[in-house]
Amino acid sequence: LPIILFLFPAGTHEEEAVEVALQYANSEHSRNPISQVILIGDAPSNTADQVLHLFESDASMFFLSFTGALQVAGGRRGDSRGCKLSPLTWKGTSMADQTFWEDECVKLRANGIPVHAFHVNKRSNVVENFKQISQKAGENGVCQFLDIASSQGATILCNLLTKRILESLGQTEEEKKLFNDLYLRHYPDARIMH
Amino acid sequence: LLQVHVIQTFLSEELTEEKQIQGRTARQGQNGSYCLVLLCKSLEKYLTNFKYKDDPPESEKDASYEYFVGGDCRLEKFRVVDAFDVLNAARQNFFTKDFEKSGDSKGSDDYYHNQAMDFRQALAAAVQSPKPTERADSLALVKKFLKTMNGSVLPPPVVRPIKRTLVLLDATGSMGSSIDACKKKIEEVCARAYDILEKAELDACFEVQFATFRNYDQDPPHLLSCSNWEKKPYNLKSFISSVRAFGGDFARFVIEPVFAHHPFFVSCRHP
Repeated sequence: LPIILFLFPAGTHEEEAVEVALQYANSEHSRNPISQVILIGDAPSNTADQVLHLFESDASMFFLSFTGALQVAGGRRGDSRGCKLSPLTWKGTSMADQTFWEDECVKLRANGIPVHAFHVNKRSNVVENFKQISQKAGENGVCQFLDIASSQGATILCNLLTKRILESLGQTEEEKKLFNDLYLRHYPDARIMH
Repeated sequence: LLQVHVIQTFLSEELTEEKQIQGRTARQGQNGSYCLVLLCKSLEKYLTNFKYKDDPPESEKDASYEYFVGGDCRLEKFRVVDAFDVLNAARQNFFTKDFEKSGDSKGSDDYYHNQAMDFRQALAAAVQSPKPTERADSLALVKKFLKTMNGSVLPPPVVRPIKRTLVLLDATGSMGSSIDACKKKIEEVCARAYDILEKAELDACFEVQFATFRNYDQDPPHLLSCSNWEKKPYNLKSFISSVRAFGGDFARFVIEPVFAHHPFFVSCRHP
């Protein structure tokens, strides 16, 4: 039986739990105020339907229990690909409540936290999702392609993060400009952003 | 009978210590012996005019040993009693000076003790003194003390609020190179930001936290895990180093049960 499981291709469900990460940002903000969020990823958030389906629907619960049964049958309980969605698993964690990325973006906007979203590939669903996240969260969020696979990938990342941090530290436009000018002047590789 | 012979190979800073070391032999009515074997070079500290040279030129030879032997004799005519007297006197002289120097000067124990006592007095006066001017003066003293004492240990007082940047990092299988880049560059990012702040002559402070996320097929700690808020990048680096890119094949979990209804699957199960 486990042999058959390996025959099925992976790939259609490419979303990741970005919404959980955004939810964490909001909850952390209530403890330690956050100035900005930088999101780096290669997959879009789970859609509301997917989250609902996973948490609530009878059908998915059937699938989940079915998977569990398969795992028991195949002696594979606890495999990383197994289902971890039983309510007991999540009880007492910050992920106990289901959430959607759009709801979290609304909260981020209310908290005044911008999200700067960097996608490391150019797949249309990722680009679209990240763009929307950066627009719907706090003001002035940017969305940009981060070519991490290129030979300059690490340098680009370094520049992106440094500039974001400096910009968050500038209290006025002049200060932000000053930081940017100083950065460009003192670091020869500072212009490598793409 | 066996005897203990003690060889002391350094000059004690105090005579009492030397006596203590001598007392390690000849214990409880037994016989014993003691000697000092000293490296000439180590005596420079005590004998201020004495500069030991490994191989002084012939012309300087007499002069360079002069102080050491304390008189008209050369090293080979060295008399033990004289040498000890010379060294002992030099030692006492050295530490009296050292002690005087440390007395109330900055950096000594007395200095810090007095400062602390003044601080305590000022603290009490800042609250209790009936005169407003005295209270204000005392408060200024308290602030000055805290600033001086904390200055070298803590970052300078920050007037601006700390700016916190939360980096949310997808840590599924395909994100390996991004995680590596973060690990490689995070220290440089912080160093550059602090450098620019310094160049802009601004007292500002920031903290960074990394949080990694995957998908619902993972255990809670793997679905979302985070570092602390860090001012220094070292801990961030060690957090990122611990992150392994995996997961992201949630699809199978969804697909498997669906395909389970496929006739092929069923027929496999029940041939």
